[in-house]
Amino acid sequence: MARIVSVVIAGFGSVGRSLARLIALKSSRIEERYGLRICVIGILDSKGAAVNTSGFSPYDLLRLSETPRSAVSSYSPCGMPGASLSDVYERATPDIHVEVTPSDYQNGEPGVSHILYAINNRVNVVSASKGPFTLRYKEIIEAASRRGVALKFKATVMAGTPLIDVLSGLKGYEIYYVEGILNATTNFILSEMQERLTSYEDALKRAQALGIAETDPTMDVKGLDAAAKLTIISNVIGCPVEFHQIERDDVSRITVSDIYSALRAGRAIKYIARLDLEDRRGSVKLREVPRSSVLGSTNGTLNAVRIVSDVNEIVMVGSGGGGMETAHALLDDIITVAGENRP
Amino acid sequence: MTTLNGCTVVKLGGSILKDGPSYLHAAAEIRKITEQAPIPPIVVVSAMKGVTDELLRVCERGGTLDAIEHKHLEAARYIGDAKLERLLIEHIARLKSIPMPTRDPIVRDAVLSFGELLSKLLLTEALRAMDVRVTSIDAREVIKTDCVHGGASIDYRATYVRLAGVASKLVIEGITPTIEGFVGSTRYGAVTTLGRGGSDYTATTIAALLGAGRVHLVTDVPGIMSADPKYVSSARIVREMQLDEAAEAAFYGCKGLHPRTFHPLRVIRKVKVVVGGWRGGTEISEGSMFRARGGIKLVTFRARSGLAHVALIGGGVAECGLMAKILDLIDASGLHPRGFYMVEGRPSMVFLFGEDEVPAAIHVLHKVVLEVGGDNV
Repeated sequence: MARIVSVVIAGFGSVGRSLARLIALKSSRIEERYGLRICVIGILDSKGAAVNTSGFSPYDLLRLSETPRSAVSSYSPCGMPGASLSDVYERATPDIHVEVTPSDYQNGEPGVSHILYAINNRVNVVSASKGPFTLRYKEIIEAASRRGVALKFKATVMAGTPLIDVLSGLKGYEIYYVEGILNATTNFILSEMQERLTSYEDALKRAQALGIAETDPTMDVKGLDAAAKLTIISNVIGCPVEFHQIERDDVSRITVSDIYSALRAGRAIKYIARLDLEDRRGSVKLREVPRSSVLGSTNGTLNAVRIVSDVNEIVMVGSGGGGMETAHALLDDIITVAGENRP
Repeated sequence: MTTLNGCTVVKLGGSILKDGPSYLHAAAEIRKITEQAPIPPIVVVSAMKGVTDELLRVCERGGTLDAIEHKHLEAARYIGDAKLERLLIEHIARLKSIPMPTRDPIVRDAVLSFGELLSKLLLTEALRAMDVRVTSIDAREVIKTDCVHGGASIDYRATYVRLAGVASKLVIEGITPTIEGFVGSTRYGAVTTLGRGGSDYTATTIAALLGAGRVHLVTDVPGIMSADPKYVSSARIVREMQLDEAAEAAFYGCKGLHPRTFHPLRVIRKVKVVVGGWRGGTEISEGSMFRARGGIKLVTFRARSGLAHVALIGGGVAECGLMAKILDLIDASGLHPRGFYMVEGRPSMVFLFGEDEVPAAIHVLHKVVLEVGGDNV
């Protein structure tokens, strides 16, 4: 008999929808393999919620994933227009709260409030939202520990490649530095500039046309996204750096001439996030690296990380966090939390 | 490998999807299939009639997308769902944000893919309006291709890995999946298109990979014709063809057949194909139970480098007796081909003409070989 684990999803953009579809499509496989039935009992977006205390069927989840943006509350008969998280929890308190709201690097909201609310209600938390862990990491971890709830967030950094899992496992290692390409958008732009000898503006337009860059790419090209990920990494390793103190370059200042000069010297310009543990310093900088190196040859939307320690150098190359990859990372964390928290 | 023997893959051509009523009509026909078949069909959707051409025009010359927006929103209003309208508006806004005109093949593929996406959304909602349990699959997530933008080839293994679990799960649960035809993506996620008519190729690939019972390519013509009616007013429907004859006809430019439509059926698994209207049309299978009327089924052509390769398609065309009869008939007709060839093992006899001679050549060949030649060929 499968054990039921109830879940509320807060945030229903492309990642939240991908997660709903994944749970719908993989429900029987998960039940077979892990003896677990994941029951989504509530979904919250910016304009309301949909709640079903018995859990949405796979077909409901598929239908919900096809509603227009900010319209889950129109899903009849489960819709609650204007509902907040507390309204949802009043109807149905879950076992696991999944936070997938967009990241805000000013105050971390609404993610911070949602996560602390869940923790205070003794609900385990799984998150892809970076803002809360960038700005209020210590507070959230301590709150979870005091309440005895599980907290997992590997979907926040390189979701398609299990970096957080690897870092968490290096317990006896003395890590000197971690550096890498952590932002898919800027890596695509720089790769395009290099491969086509095109301007930053043209490369950005192409990235936007292909859905790789947002209409407003500030978070990516000014290094906020990469800096947020670096901050989370620093906290996981136990050597926290402050997000606002991370030095950041602006990718938009790169010219074709810079790219060309680097190419002539057999080098590539990459946007490298680096955490130096000895100096306790973080930076997100445009750097020239040999084209033949791991970072120099990681192109397009791929991410890559080098972890250099007293034991060895670990290199990871893979996709960052597309909708489905992030959803899979969230699902992994849900299964892990459910397994760790057997009644 | 998965087999969904009782499943039909239905591909809806753009010619039958032109406005709100036509989407509802298509949905009603699909509902009949869901009621009669043991498991629901998988529905492959083309862009609404004229939309791909319009998108290509805007890619090449710039201009507004107002006509496309208007067509789709009007259809959505007819289907009667406000949420559908909102969804379409979201996607059209994304399309409008892409700078055009563009010569970039990658961006062009991204633009063209919107035709099928919008059409799929309309059909999915039309099916819901008919109380069919339905959900949509994103072709960009499951149909994986090489990197040839504008004419990509499907990577069957990579597609199977992504498609099998999703599609099988849905149809076994009694849910009808809809998916865009013509569209796929590379392993790095860049959107690709399969070439004009590529929705047929999507449909046959899905059918072959999933072991479906049959593929129905629904179009506004009653079946594959013995010649293009533009050249031959007496052209008739070809009732039965063998798979290799159909593949050969596609290769030689037979109207409405994508050149790679039959490739998955030859290399992965043979599946019966019907081309025509909702009630039936031309049946294409591995082998006919009996030799259909005439060894020659149709005449078609393909132009290359200023020459037209006009092909008579039919099994047994290589038999010496038949070949001799055909050459005699052509000789007597007054036609003067510049040459002819046959390839061993292929069901075609090909004559070379100037491109300006094509209408006359097809007209005469159809008359002397398929009409007058009759049972003798």
